[in-house]
This record gives sequence, structure tokens and C-alpha cells, in this order.
Amino acid sequence: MSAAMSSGRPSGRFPAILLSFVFAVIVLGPVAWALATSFKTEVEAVAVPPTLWPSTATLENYLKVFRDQSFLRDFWNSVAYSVGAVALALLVGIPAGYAAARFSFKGKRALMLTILATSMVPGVALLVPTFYLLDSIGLLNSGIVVTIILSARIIPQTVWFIANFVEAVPVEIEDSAFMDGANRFQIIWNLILPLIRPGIAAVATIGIVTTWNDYITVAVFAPDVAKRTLQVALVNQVFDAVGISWSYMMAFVVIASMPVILMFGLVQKWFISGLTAGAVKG
Amino acid sequence: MANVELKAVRKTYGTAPVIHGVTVDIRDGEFVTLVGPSGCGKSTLLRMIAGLEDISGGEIQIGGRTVNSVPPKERDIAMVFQNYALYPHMTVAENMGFSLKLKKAPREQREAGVGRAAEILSLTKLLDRYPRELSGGQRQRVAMGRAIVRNPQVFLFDEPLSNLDAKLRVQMRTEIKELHQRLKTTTVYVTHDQVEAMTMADKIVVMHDGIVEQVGAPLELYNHPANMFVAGFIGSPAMNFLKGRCERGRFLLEDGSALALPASLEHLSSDAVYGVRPEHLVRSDDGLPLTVAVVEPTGAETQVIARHGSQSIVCIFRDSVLPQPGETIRVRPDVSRVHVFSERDGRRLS
Ligand SMILES: Nc1ncnc2c1ncn2[C@@H]1O[C@H](COP(=O)(O)OP(=O)(O)O)[C@@H](O)[C@H]1O
Ligand SMILES: [Mg+2]
Repeated sequence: MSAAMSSGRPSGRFPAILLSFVFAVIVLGPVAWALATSFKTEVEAVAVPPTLWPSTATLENYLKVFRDQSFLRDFWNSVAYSVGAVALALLVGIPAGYAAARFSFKGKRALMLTILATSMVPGVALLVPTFYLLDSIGLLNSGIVVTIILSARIIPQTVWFIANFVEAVPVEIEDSAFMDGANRFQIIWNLILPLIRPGIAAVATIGIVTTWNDYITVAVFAPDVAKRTLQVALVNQVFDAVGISWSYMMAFVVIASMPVILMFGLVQKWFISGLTAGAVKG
Repeated sequence: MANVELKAVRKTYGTAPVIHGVTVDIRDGEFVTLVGPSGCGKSTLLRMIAGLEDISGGEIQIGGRTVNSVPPKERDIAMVFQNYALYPHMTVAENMGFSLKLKKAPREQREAGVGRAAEILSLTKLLDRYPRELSGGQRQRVAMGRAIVRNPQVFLFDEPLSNLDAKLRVQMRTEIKELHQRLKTTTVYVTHDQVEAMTMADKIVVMHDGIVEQVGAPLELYNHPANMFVAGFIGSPAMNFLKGRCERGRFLLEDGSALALPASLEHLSSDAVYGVRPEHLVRSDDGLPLTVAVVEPTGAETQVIARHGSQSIVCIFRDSVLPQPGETIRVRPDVSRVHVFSERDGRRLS
């Protein structure tokens, strides 16, 4: 794509640049607004006409967030649920994806399509039945249950991604390792995992983003304050508070988004090469 | 080291039979090539010897032991693949030492093994490189190094040189041959290239559509092909085949021209196919008239593609007088090197 864009004459590239610019403004505008507001005082945040740049920048909002008793607990819950869900998804998805890529068995196609189809059922449709199910067996407000449910949401995509990444590894490499004396487990551990690492980073990132940003699952299945996540806490403020403090809330939003952004930064290199596959060409 | 015996080996994928009962006896230390056109089942057979494919029927023995249900790693075999199949995330040394690492060999032993193989293959300077930093020929050598390190009973090669350019292929051919002469390990080498098969092998197994057409030393196959398939496959350019009839000690072409028959077929009287290699046609004033179509001099010899009626005939001449396209030349087969095949099943009659 970059080659196509840079090869054109400057005048020919102009529409593309303009379009990217507009797109960037649409996407980044609210982010910039939130960031700016988080440094404003409570009064300035709601001033009319609104200011773009905080006239007196303050860290007060951030300090307030960190001083909040429940923040650390909410944060920990968020981390635990999403890391747990992704770990579980990888634990299931790596062997399943490997099997889908390497073994042929009856009904494999149907099975894979079914797995894919489950990810297309809107989560909201399952909310009520799942709620009654969990309620009747007393499993509401369980961190483990929430983690499993979140994991179930990302397992289908994980299996499919991993299967594709494994397929991109030439099977002769495995044959070779068999001849070298490796068993299936050693092959997966020593060869497949290192070779599909970019792919794993990509699915893990997508999984973290999905689960970290989840609101509804946690809000419904773990309504207990002690079990809530940052996302739930954030929304609760809108309802709880007598008056919403926008500047406080934006500081909260920035902090709540930070881990995901950091994660992207960390795995960016792998993420891109994972999405573009070809990661294993000798 | 070990001998390898294939006894009526069969392979079926689902319901599709691919190998229809192959029996071959490979002696200890022998260099055997499996040659045949693409899709004839060479790789499948090799992979069955390796243990990478199940054996649907028959028996494979290595060193006198039946290995039908023995997993690859217990067969004491090493295999080199066409696309090298190196581990991309490991250095050359790690690639070569992987099998020893799996065996939990102590570090010094691993280093010694890798060092020895690297020395044999002149890879010592490349040990810290990654496969992506190597040329095609170097990768091929690493793949061989990985095999040597294991010090196996049998080497298997599956078209190891197909991905190399022509010059490197010839060079590596020699290297592999030298390696075999040095290590004397039983080797089964798959190729679709009959020149490779001829130049490297002690013994050639010619395969076609999942069966063995003939087994023999290179010159044996060249001089006494068992049937038209082997006759046409071995030798380059390919043997000329002329349809006609054996009658009263002569071979009559469809247009009535006559060619000499070997004495052994004097009394034969039936439809047949007359086979003569391009290099066994000599110019002779009383020979078969041919119209020259294309002349291809290569220096040492000249390949002439000519026609007799609708039949195309290839000749190779060593003299320096080149015929011209359109010219009529007369050629006569060297009757001692003529092959006659059954019209019905292609089997050799002479
Ligand atoms: N896994 C497989 N499933 C079904 N058919 C196969 C499989 N592998 C190979 N075949 C078939 O077996 C035949 C022989 O293949 P192969 O041994 O690779 O031939 P060669 O190596 O001589 O080119 C081919 O017709 C091929 O299509
Ligand atoms: Mg093959």
C-alpha cells in the first residue's frame, strides 16, 4: 500500500492524504478532547463556551482517581479478568488451532464453522438466559465465571487465528523435527510457538482489548461493587454521582485506556507482522 | 548402517491407491535413486520409509527389523527435504544440533557433533547465522548437516536439489556423491531428473504410477530397459520409438521402409515398436531417409531433429559437418543397440 501511495505524483496523492487526515481527526478528536479535559479544573471542564486547551493545567483529577479507595480494586479486577480470559483463550486456542491446522478429521470444516458462528451470536442475546442460569446455580458475582465468559467470547477468533498461523508454517519443518526425534508436544513448544509468536501477540492483543473494554458482561454477571471493573466503575459514576465531574471522569478514562495502549505499543512490531502473516518464511 | 527392504509395499489415501505393491531391496551402503515422473509416488514411498506416512500394506524392513509400526525417531533415519525445512528461528548450529538436544546429549557432545558435520560440509564459518541469511546452496548444506549429525543408519533425500540453479545443482550433486563415498551410509535419493539419477546412483529404481518399472544399475537400465516407459525415461534426449511390424528378420515401418533387426528377433512376426536412441543412429548412404527440421549444435555433438513422413526422429551426431534444415540425410540404426518392444504392453522383446 505504501508503495502504491508513494509512487503516485504528489497531486495524485492529495485525496488520499486528505482522507487520512479527516479520518484521523474523526478518530483522534474525542481522544484529544478527553485528554485535554482530564487536565482541566472541574469548573473549566463545563465552561461555556468550551476551551480546547486547559487554561490552568492540573493533575488534581489524576491524583483524585488514584486516591479513590476502589480504583486499585477495580483496576486489579480489570487486569485479572482480561489477562485471565486471554490466557485461558490461548490455552484452549493454541491446541485447538494447531489441531485444526494439522489434523484432518471428519466434520472438521463443520466444526470450525460452528466455532466461528458462535462468535457471531450477539452477546446481548445470551445475557438474559445466562444470567438466569448463573443465578439459579449461585454463580453470580464470581470472578472466575466472569473470566470464563469473557474468554468464551474471544476463543473462536483465537482458534481461527492460531489455525491460520500454524498453517503458514511449512509442514516439512514438523516432519523434519519428527525425524530429529521430537514428539508432538516438543514440536509445538520448540517450533510452532516461537514461529507463530507474532500471531500469538496479535490475538492476545485483540483479546485484551476486547475483554478490557467489556462493560456489559461484568455489569450483569458480577454486579457486586467488589467485583466490578474499571469500565463498570466508570459508568457507575454517571449514575451514582450527584453531579458528574467531567474532568475527573476523563482522567479516569485516560487511565483506564492506558494499559491497552501500552500493550499495543509493546507488541506493535509483532502485531503488524502477525496480521500480515508470512512471519515464518525461511 | 543398514539395508532397507521394501516388500509389496502399498499406500492408499482414502480410497485412492497411490503405491501398488513396491518391492525393492536396498543393500547396506548402497546409493539408490528413486526416479520417475512427478506424481508417481516417489515422495510417498520415501515418507513411508521415514515413518512419516502409514504403510497401507506390505512390509518395510530396516536393518532386518520390520518398522511398519515404528515411529520415525526410532528408525534411525535422517531425511533431507526439497525445501530444506530448516528451523527458521534457530541458527545453523542450533538447527544441526536440535536432534542431539532432544536426545539430551551433553553440551560438549552436541558441539563436537555439530562441529564435525560443519567441517565435512564447510559450514564452520556459518554456524551462527540464521537460515534466512544463507544462500540456497548453503541452506541445502545445513539440511544435510542436520542429517549427518545424527549419524543415522539411512539417509533419505527428497529432490534435495530441485530448488537450486543448474550450476549449483551439478556442484551439489558431486558433493552429495562424495559425502556418500566418505560416510558410506545407505542412501535413498528421490529425483524426477533422470540425469541426476543416472550420475549419482549405484542402483536406480524407476517408478511410474505407483509401481516399479525396473530396478538396476544406471547402465543396465540404459542398455537393457525392460519396457518402453523405462526406455523413454532413461537417456537424454529420449529414445526414438517407431511403430511397425517385425517380419522375416526385418522391421517394416508403416510406409514400407525396412530397418534391420537384432539376430535374436529374426523369427519374430508381429506388430511391434522399434526403439533406438538418438546417439545410436549413424549416417549411412543406404539408411532411412530423413528430412532435417532443426539442427542444434552444442559443440561436442549436434542434435538433429528430423522427420520421416509424419514421424519425428532425433539423432545425435558427433561429426562436425552440420546438415542444413530441409536437407535429406540418411541414417541407419546401430543394430546391436536397437530395442524392440511389444506393441501390446510395451514390454521388451529383444
Ligand atoms: N496426503 C495426500 N492425500 C491424498 N493424495 C496424496 C497425498 N499425498 C500425495 N498424494 C497423491 O499421491 C500421488 C503421489 O504423490 P507423491 O508421492 O508426492 O509423488 P512424487 O513425489 O513422485 O511427485 C499423487 O497423485 C498425489 O496426488
Ligand atoms: Mg515428490
